[in-house]
Amino acid sequence: MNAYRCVFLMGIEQALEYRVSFLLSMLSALFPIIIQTTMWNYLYGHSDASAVFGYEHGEILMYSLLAVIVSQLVSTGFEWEINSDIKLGGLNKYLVRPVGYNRYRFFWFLGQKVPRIMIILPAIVIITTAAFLQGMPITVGRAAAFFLSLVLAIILNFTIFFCIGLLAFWLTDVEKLFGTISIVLTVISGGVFPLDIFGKTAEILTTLLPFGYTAQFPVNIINGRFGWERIGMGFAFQIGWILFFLCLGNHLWKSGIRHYSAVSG
Amino acid sequence: MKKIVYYLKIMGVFAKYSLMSALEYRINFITGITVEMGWMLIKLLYVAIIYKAGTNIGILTPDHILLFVGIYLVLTGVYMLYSGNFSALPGMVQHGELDLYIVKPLSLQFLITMRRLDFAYLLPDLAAGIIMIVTGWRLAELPVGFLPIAGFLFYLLCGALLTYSLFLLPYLLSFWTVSVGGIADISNALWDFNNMPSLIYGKWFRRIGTYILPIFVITNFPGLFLMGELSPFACFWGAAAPLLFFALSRALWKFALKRYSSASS
Repeated sequence: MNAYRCVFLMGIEQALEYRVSFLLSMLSALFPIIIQTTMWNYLYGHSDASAVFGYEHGEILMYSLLAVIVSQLVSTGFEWEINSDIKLGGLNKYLVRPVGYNRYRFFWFLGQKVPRIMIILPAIVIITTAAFLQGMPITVGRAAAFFLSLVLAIILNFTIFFCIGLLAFWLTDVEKLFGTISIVLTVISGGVFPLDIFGKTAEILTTLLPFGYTAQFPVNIINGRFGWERIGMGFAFQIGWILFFLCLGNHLWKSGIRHYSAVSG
Repeated sequence: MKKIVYYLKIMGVFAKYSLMSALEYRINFITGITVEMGWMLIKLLYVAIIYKAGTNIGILTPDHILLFVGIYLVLTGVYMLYSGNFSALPGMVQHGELDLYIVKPLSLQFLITMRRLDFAYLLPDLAAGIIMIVTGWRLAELPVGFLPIAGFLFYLLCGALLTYSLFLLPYLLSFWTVSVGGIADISNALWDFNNMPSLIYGKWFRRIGTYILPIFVITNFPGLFLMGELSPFACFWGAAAPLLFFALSRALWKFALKRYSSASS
């Protein structure tokens, strides 16, 4: 366990290496929020948008604010590192060490999230408090369910992208493929807009598929759209999908490592 | 004139080699197209929302907005064609790779910023953008004739030149700082303000985006010209801003190059 604690701390150190660049990256997340809130304010101010989209004005504004933040929080990036480990032979060093590669990647990923969490968490607290003061139905129980769903969303996104990263065992040109997957998953997770505004089919797909549980589900807990029954079902789906991707990841790792030929000097 | 022909010929050679390289790594080319289609999906969601709401934004009907987003897509494709060279610049400065290019008998700025062209990013945006422009133009019943088309294409070209000049500026900071990742993120996020026509934003925001950091000039002016909504001063500014910012980027490039220290022994 001590080894993974060190990996976790190394992850934090690496994330803080270029602090100004990191802060500017975080700042850039503000722009889509400005664009979306401006658009929603205009649409809700000039039409009966709540009837068209099924979200009240306050709900959609809170969604726009939190979806971008939650997407930032759960975002990965280690899949490119897995690809580089597999392609350039960097995996060798993990194979001869007494560490599990998946656990190594997980603790590194968590370590890298710490500075992001330290910025994002106060922002979430401020937004939810402001929303509460504006009369949105935010209770302590709902806030606790939101934070629990966030933790599960981070784990779920890790397991999904770990599986995607392992595709590098079989595919030669994966870098741009990772880019495509990352963008498409951001959209279908509800990280840009809530997908249920596009109709019943989109709503059913978001409920059944795992991706909505990384962004849309946590946000819809805190903005009051989901009742407790729907929240309970969502947690079951989140945990179920985490277990599924854990098993898939283990299977892919075992098959991939048989496929892998180590390169050394 | 001779010089322009010379540079056009070199541009043709760059395009030829970039295409040959793209066709050699076909999977990479195809996945490049899918990445851009992923980004396009996000832009299309904005249009879908406007159509679903069925609301005008000021003088713009949803059909006008389709045209505006089409222009945005075309210019995004053109920017993506060479933007890989911008993002490669910081690495080249850090590793002293400019040494190889600095001795070539042509403009270093042209060589560095245009040497690799990514057609995989251009094609989907260009195809979808042209379809949206033609459809929006027809549905909004905008005038068709020599003057409207020539004026539209003129402001489209001005937008392309302004994009090049404006978005090169943040990357030139790499001559002073080690990592420009955050600055690049911010400039890319600024580009996304064109997801919606400038009329949706407040008056002061619009003024800043038109006259100080003219991102709104890029994709709004061709459409506004077609609608006859550009004042004489705006017509002048739409043509002057690209030249002004090109001169600025040229001057800053020359100034920044003085900071470059060769890495060779």
